[in-house]
Amino acid sequence: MSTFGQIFSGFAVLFQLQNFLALVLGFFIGLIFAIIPGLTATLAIVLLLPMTYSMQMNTALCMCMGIYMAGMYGGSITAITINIPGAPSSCMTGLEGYQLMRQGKGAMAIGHASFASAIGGTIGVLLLILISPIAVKAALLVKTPGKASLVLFAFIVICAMQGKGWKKALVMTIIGMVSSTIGMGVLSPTARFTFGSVVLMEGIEFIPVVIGSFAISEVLTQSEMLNREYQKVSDSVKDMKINRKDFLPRWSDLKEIGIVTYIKSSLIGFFIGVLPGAGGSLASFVSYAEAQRSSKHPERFGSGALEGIAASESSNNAVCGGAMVPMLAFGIPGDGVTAVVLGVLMVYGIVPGPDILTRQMHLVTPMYAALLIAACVLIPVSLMLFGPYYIKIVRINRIVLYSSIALIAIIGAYAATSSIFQIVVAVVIGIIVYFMRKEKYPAVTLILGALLGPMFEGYFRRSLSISKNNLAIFLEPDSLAFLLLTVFFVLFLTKFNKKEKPC
Amino acid sequence: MRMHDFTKRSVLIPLCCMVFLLGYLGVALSMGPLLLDSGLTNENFIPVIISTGGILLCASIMRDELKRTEEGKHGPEEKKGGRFSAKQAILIADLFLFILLYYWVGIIPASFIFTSIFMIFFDDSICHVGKKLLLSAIITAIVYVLYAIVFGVHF
Repeated sequence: MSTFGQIFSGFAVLFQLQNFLALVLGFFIGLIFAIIPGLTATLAIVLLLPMTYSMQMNTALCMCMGIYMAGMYGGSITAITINIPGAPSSCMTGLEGYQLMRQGKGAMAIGHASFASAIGGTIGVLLLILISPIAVKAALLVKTPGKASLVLFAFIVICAMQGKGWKKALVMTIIGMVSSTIGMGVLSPTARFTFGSVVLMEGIEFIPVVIGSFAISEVLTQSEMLNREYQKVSDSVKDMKINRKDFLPRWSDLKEIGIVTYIKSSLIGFFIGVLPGAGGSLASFVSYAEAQRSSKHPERFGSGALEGIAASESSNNAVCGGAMVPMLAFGIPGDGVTAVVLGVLMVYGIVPGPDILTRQMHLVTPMYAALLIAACVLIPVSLMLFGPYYIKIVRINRIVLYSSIALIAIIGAYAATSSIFQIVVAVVIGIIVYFMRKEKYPAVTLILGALLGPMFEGYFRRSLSISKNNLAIFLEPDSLAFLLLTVFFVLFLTKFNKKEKPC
Repeated sequence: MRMHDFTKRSVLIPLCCMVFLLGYLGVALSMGPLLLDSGLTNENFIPVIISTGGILLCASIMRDELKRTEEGKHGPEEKKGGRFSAKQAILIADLFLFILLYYWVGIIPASFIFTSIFMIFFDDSICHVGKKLLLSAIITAIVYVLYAIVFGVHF
């Protein structure tokens, strides 16, 4: 079947009732989690992860895609209205959007943010569809030593992205890798670090690690927030009224922003998304800076420039498409959400790589279709239908919210593994990560270490088996290319991180 | 440098990681020599490499933090005066209590008790306890209906 034929069959799968409902449900769950400051799309997928066991795979993946796209978009709503970005990727949107809110143009800013998100998301997915076949060809050229170097590239680049905190990120990666070595060996049936214990023999599963790192540690972090602080945020939106008709962007404003800004920002977002660990925050920062540089009115930036909102939002939603490329073609997640989506694939025994993009396209194309529909249909439609009520989501009773999250997390760890030991693992990891996050140790690198650690070890040792322990095998062209790329990115990011970012 | 500096969280965390990784390295080394006939492909090769790297990194972070402490700069939370509160200790104890209750009373009552304690102490105020108990029962019921009926998970 041709690529287009496969894409159309992906739409056919998506429009099956259960898959489409899952997408819409996922979109609204993602939106709620993105709007509420402190909650993220990653947390939404983490809580969903144990439930995916009983779902059909396509249904689970459609739901994840809905959460992902909404998670990137929803953060802009609180960033604009109350100057608290619901997601880190909306930080730059808040810089301009909140100024417009103060001028009484909040609804217009939300409208522009949604429009830009829809355009960015759509361009990102179209690029994903176009680039996937090329990515497959590239992935097929990479042999085992090259794969080991690629995973190493991902580890190093993700840690280098953290700037001054790279050492802490690397320590978290190592701890993640250490946790993945417990249990049976990667290549031979040898028990490692089990101390003769049967429960340790089964190893530390991915779901408890992810639930502990994101859900339990987040609940403990949120418990630090006093009620009166939360009340202040809640009260600030109490009497806020937004009219639907104000959401529609004016043609003159769109002309002033210019199609070039949307396309350029989407391209920046997409290609930054391809980089492991870069994520929406970096994409929106780079696009915002570029929009300001190339603007006819750079002086307007910081006092409510629509160009800034358009650049930031179109790029962070284009990241969704970009981050899927390395995840699907190489099994290297582009950000926290794709790391958890990778976990969902692994739950079903699917190992991402060139195979999934050639022989298992029936699993991938509904994901493409789901992302596309979420971007170009659900974002505008949901805004026009429920837009005026979005901001009320901030007023959800936080005690009920966090108690539910805590219970879903702890039951989820049990439901996924049927093992009380894994609940203990989730709780212990959650407490440790909570303390580490307070000192700016990133949780996402722990997850990547746990997820990619066994892959790295497998590829590394297999390469050495092939070469009879000759390390020169890593100097083969494909492997050498990734090693050189690693050096290039480390040098580039060291320079880039010296630039001061506004948030 | 004073002994007191080692009790700061920013120093204590890399120290604990270092101790953990040292223990891990010890176990990895006890699994056998690194270079046998199978050479670098031994089971303990990667664990030894990563734990050694981790120990060096932790030592470097510790040195940086001790230097910052000496210069009078503190970690992000310590500067703000954020401290581990009694409320958080209760929430953590509640998480472990769930595991004990699972054995004593079964998973559903354990979930209800866990959620009730969580609700009462997550909030600053301890008023409306009755309302919170009712909410806990509702949340527990919803979560179980969601898992057991909608997603077909057996407990």
